[in-house]
Amino acid sequence: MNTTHINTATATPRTFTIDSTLSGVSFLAAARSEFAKLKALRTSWWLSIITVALGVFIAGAVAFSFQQFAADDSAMAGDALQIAIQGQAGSYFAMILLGSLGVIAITTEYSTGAIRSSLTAVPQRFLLLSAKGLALVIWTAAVTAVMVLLSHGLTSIIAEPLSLGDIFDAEIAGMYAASWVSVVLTSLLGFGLGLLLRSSAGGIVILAVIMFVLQMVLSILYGVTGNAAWVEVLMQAEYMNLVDNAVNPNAGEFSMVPALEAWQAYVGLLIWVAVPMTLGALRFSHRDA
Amino acid sequence: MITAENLHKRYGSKNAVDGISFQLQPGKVTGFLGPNGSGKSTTMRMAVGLDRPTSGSITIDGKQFSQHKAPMRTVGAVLDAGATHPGRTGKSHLKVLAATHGISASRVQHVIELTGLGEVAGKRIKGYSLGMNQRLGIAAALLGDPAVLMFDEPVNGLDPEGVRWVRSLARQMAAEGRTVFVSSHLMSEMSQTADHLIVLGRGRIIADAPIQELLNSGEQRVLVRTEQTSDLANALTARDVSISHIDAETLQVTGLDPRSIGRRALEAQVVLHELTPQLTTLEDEYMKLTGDHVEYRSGGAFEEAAQ
Repeated sequence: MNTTHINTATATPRTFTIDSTLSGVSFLAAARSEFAKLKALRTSWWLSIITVALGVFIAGAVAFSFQQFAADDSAMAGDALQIAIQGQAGSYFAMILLGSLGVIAITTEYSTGAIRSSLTAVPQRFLLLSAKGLALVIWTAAVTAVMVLLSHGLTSIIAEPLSLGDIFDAEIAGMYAASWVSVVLTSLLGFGLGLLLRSSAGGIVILAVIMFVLQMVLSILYGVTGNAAWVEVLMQAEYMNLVDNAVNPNAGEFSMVPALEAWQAYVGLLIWVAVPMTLGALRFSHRDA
Repeated sequence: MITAENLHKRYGSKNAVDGISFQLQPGKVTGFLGPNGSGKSTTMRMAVGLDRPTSGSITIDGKQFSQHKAPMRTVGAVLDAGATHPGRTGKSHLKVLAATHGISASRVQHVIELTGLGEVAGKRIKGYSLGMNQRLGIAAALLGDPAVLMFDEPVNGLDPEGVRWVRSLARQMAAEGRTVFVSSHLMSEMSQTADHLIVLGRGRIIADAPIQELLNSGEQRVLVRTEQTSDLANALTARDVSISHIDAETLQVTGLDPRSIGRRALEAQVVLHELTPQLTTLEDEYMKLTGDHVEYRSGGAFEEAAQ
């Protein structure tokens, strides 16, 4: 019996064609994917839960203290805005916690090697980066909003004269919005630092230095240089001073340097965020993954 | 179709890929063979835009990978079994990737079943073995039902069943008309999977040919066993014929076919006990091709070291 052996290797191959009706990659789809990544990580949930819990706890503690002092000494009782500002003290912790989340959102991609999967799915690097940034903003904005609202609720329940309805007061709502924006911008600052340094520890340490150490160093320098004008400029441009100027309508009252206008503070904060983001994005787009 | 043109990649003073050009055809499994450090993975990484070429280009259907509208439907790549976040589950990893291209949940479930990950898909990746990670990487590569599949050392860590499965998957994908590009340093693996081979050594292409052509290009060797080795050696001596003594009764002859050897033995009245043509294996050919291009060479055998 004759048998014919067909060598598939040399047979004329057919060509597989991609179904052109199927969808490709888009910015919104990539952002949805990045949001799903944040949602799938325990770290995101832990940092967010701690942020809200700590923010609400601090708000309650501050409100309780106010109430106690006001009962003992009526001169200590503040107005509603003052109590609302103090009730948002937890937002400083939110900045470092969600700023760290911003760092981790990108550095873990490198430390785990997952960046290679991400870039194979979305090879357009700016698109991937923007999608990641947007997902982070949505996440931190939601967490901060929950923290601000719960803090307000608790503060208004404990401390008079702040009431629940004061959230619609233009001044108080503006202060809350500024606080909310500052936390979201700080998470983007962390994201930029993570992008630039590609190191979780490095990014978080630099963020902590920017938030907590720089102010002290500049204050010391201000004293040492005999209140030099150039140090005063640096102190005004220092990150936490800008946050204070953006959030607190009474900023500058107890400050060593003159307060900036709120818009100037926002411009300053945007520059702080834009510098590491731009440098990080350039590094991200030009370096091998 | 994958096309590389004068592709270079330099890391400092080291040329990882040194001006290679090739074209991969759809409907075939092309093996990318070479010793460690020969530039296989770097070439594949450049194909999907993870690394930037120092010069030259590598394109998929005439376009850079990042210029394709639907990258996951164009190329499915398994370049690194560990390219996942260990804190996610296998399923969430696939869902995250699927979301970028609007790929349905049923397709995610389909590739999970196809790759045999059904039982572990809900578990965190940090608990996965290397083999499971390889399967997860393959599942991710198949998500977009792509026209090109690129596997870098896909059988690393797989059990024998997994190895056979990858082999048949590659063949099946090529039979469907896809371009399948598989790298390996295992010659045996390539001989069972690939139709065409590109052999790389120190960043340069040292062979680019159908696998059968590579096997045929080898010299024909014949093993001859006789008690009259010196008589036979004298009878066979000629230009282009080389004879080596394996032992007191065995010769290995290169440059003559078995029929000619038998005839000359008869003329010289030499009794032969064995006349066996030696088939050139891919491994022989590979060792011959890459012998001068191995960057990391092992030391001597343990016995030698012990002496």
